[in-house]
Amino acid sequence: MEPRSISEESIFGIARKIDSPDARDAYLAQVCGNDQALRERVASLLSAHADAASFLESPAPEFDATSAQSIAEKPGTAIGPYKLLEQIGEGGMGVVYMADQQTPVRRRVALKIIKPGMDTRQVIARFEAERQALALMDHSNIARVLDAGATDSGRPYFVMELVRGVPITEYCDKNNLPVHERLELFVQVCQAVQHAHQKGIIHRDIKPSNVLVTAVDGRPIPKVIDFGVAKAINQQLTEKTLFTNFAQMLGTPLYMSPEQAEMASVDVDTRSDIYSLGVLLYELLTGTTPFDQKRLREAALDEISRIIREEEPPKPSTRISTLANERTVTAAHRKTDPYRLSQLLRGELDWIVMKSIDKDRTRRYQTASGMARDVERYLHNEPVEACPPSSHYRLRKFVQRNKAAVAVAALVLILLTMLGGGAGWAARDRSARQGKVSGQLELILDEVARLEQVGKWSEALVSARRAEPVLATGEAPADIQQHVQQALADLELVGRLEEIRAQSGTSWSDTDQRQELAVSADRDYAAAFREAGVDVDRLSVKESAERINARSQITAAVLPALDDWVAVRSVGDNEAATRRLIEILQVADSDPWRQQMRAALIHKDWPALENLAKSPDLDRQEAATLSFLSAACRVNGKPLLEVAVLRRAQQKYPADYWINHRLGVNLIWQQAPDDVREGIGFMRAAVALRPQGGHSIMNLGNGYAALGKYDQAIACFRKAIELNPDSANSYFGLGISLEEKGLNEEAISAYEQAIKKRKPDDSSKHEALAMILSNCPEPRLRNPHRAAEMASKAVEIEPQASNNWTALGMARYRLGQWQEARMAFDKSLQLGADSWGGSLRRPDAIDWFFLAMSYWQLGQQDQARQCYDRGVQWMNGSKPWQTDDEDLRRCQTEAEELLEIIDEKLTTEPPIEVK
Amino acid sequence: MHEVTQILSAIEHGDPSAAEQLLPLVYDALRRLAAQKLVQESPGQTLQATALVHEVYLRLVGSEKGQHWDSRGHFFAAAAEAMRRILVESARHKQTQKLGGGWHRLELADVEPIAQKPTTDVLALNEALGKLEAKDPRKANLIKLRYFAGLTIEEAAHALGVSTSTADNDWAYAKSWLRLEMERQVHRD
Repeated sequence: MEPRSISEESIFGIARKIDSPDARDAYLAQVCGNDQALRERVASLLSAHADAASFLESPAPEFDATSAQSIAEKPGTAIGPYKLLEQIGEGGMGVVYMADQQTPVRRRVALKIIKPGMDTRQVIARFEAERQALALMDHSNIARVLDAGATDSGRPYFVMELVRGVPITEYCDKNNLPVHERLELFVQVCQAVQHAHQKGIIHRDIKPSNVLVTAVDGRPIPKVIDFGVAKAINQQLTEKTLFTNFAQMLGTPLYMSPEQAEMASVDVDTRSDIYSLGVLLYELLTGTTPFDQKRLREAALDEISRIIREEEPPKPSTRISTLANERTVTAAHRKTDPYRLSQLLRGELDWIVMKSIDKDRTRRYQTASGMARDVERYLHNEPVEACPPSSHYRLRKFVQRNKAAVAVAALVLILLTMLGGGAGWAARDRSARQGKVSGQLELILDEVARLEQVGKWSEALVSARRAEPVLATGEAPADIQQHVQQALADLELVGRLEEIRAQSGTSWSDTDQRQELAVSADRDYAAAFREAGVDVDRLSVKESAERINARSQITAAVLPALDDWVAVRSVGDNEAATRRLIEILQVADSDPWRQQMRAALIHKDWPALENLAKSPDLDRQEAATLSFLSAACRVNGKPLLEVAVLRRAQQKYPADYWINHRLGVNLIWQQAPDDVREGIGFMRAAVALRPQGGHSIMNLGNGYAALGKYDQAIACFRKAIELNPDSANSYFGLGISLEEKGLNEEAISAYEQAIKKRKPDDSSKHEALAMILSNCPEPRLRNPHRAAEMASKAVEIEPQASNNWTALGMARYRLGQWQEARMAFDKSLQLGADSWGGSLRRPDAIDWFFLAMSYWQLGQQDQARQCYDRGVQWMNGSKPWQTDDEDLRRCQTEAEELLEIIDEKLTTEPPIEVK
Repeated sequence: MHEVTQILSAIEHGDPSAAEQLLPLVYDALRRLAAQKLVQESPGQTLQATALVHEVYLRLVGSEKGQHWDSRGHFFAAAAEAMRRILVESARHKQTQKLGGGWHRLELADVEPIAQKPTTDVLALNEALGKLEAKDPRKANLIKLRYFAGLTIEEAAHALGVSTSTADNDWAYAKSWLRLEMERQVHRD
């Protein structure tokens, strides 16, 4: 062995455990060989180890009054050449002090100490990189940043020209400055920013608290502070910015440009400052920011980012009229009344503001001086450069969002040109605007109707939702508005019904879950219909039927849902309630074939149903009818007939979602590889027909998993979870596939999620989690306490399932409760022998091997050996696919190690046959 | 104070940038609680740093069951680092006072109540710890979790995702290593 290959650390690790000094020396001599330095090093580590038994062992020092209160810098502290005088401000970013500089010049400065939590070296390095450019700035409306450094406690600080001022918005309100005076101040701010931009400095954090106003000889002078600071601190929109003091924090999202709010983006240029200037102007004019502060504060991070990037804020004049109580105050601060203020803002000022806060930076003012000039033009009553958003532009954006409808949109373009283009910006007049809105809405409604007709319900809903922002403008005529809202309500109902149907559809497996799932689907259907105004249990049959038929656009989806509901209810024993549904359907839907099926269902006339299923007329029925018929076959307990019906249906309607979905589910559940492969084909068709159908994607995952294609399965389950985050079965499937791939840690968390989702509360998820927590190949992930908890729960839910007892035994064994473990394995073997022992039963040998270990731990070695032999016997008598099991292999190894069988196996011939 | 739990859940959902956002929050909370406590305490009382960490945990995260160990681990990692900084800042400050740097007016609360019993030299430890961190971050984190956040060896092992025996070996080695390093500092000074 090459001694040098052993590290100092591992030599130390071994040596410290050798108690006898002689033996230890001998070990060191052997392993270090001639490497004297290594040997000395280890020896000194060992002696430090011996001396330092108590070193660091009693955790952490205490600290007293002095230390706790003097952690922060405070007045009197000297920081480099600066002496702190008094605190003059505190914000989310840090504390600002007035300070005296002693050398090289004596002057009074502002010193901002940044809060801890940033890499000081990086902050200062970034500042240094921009220091030269900052030094070039020389403008009366800019407070210069003079210096940066680190305090003794390692926090970065910035030294700035001292400005005794208040934030510009506060100054304006305190002095009740009318709008034109505010604009004059604002022009100076723009000019300052322009100066910085010309020197290549972007501010990145323009907001009222960084634009201070001081009075010089009675005249207000705005000063922009903190140039260079934001860049040095390099703060982006992250949770951190949100969790610090919201209103004052650096990079508050209220003033942040869409490109800054884009979390991955670093592409920020001078036009980002233009945006922030626009928000500042907005606030100077209206007293509020374009986006509601409260709303942004409560929104999640990605939602904030989305709002800033996508939402169109109201124009300032509109905003004023929507402010409730504040608008009188806001107006009074501007020496006017709300009505006049709104009138004043309408038009040019609206345009100037909206141009500067355009989402698309190429449409903003390209320079701060350009913005200043336009404000000056307004002040001089000259025509401004900014113009209202053009109809062409709006339309272009609209078309982008409606790629599917581009062809029709071209038509509307012509319509709009006729309405608006000829009259120029006479389109400002109300009727033209209404015409445009109506045009947009009618286009959307046409698209929705087309999609409804071909049964593309989720696509129709997506289309209909596009109308919502248009409605929100409040400019749509009442009748169209109502029409759109009805379509939205209809489609939301369909979405809900289809979701319930998908869940109930997967419940037709032959397990005990069937009853429970039927009950919950029944409840969901009742709630969905009740909330849609059709409370079937309270309204008369006639009235229910009428209300259902009144929604003519969606009856094609509602009637199959009702039929599915009938099937669901007939699983339970509430015959009266089932009968009521059928009566409603008999009134609402006169299709003779479906009438026959319903009659057969209600009378449990199974021969009649079978006749229908085998009838040559089958091919002439609608897809929904065949779907219903297949469900009825399942209720009747004829799964093979169901598959036969579905196959015929699929040939007739290869593009029907439900038929493909049901056929796929059925075949995948058969578990035989050929069936599964075929099922996957249909399931893929179903997924292609409804890419948003989480249930189909989940079942596709089940299919792949059944074939051992775990990568594909994992991808499917993840997608299914994304689409339907509450699906316990998706998490369960994901857990199984991850475990098969050896990704145990992720598997455990997927199982935990599956259990958290609860529904359906069967025991298999608990069992799977208990097993992996007891027997995971990575010991650090094992958690016998939790495993025991889960296994007990599993046994409680399904005491007849042998696997649950295996899991319980294993957890007990891991907890050292040998006796309890033994009893659980006995129980498992007993149940396993009594029951169907199907493919879902874990190998008996697992029980035997663990039983062997339990006996061994109890000191009953003969018993242990017998059990071990039984396990081996079981394995020899089993098919290869039964013994090809990771858990089983691990148990066997563990048992052999414990029972000290390893050597024997190596030296003796393997038994040819065990009796 | 649910920001902390939100950050913890962001970390658990795999947002790598979230971890560093914990530090300033926890740091602030620790400092504030320490100041608050010391005002309430009678003179001469001291605060155990690690007790403070655990109290801040209860306040910010709460003791609800089902809190994942993962997130507890992240929390304590941040807390250990914050406490290290606080103690180092405090030690530095004391040092400058001793060297005559603390020329400002002493207020009553500032007067050291009792002679401090000699404890570990935080500044020397900090310096040595910095070197260990460069060489072997896992061991440095273990020291921080144990010493500054007061976790047991099992808890610290769990937080770092290593087995207890690994943590145990790391602990013995890192302690001896730091001890040697600190001795060397003394000789050099």
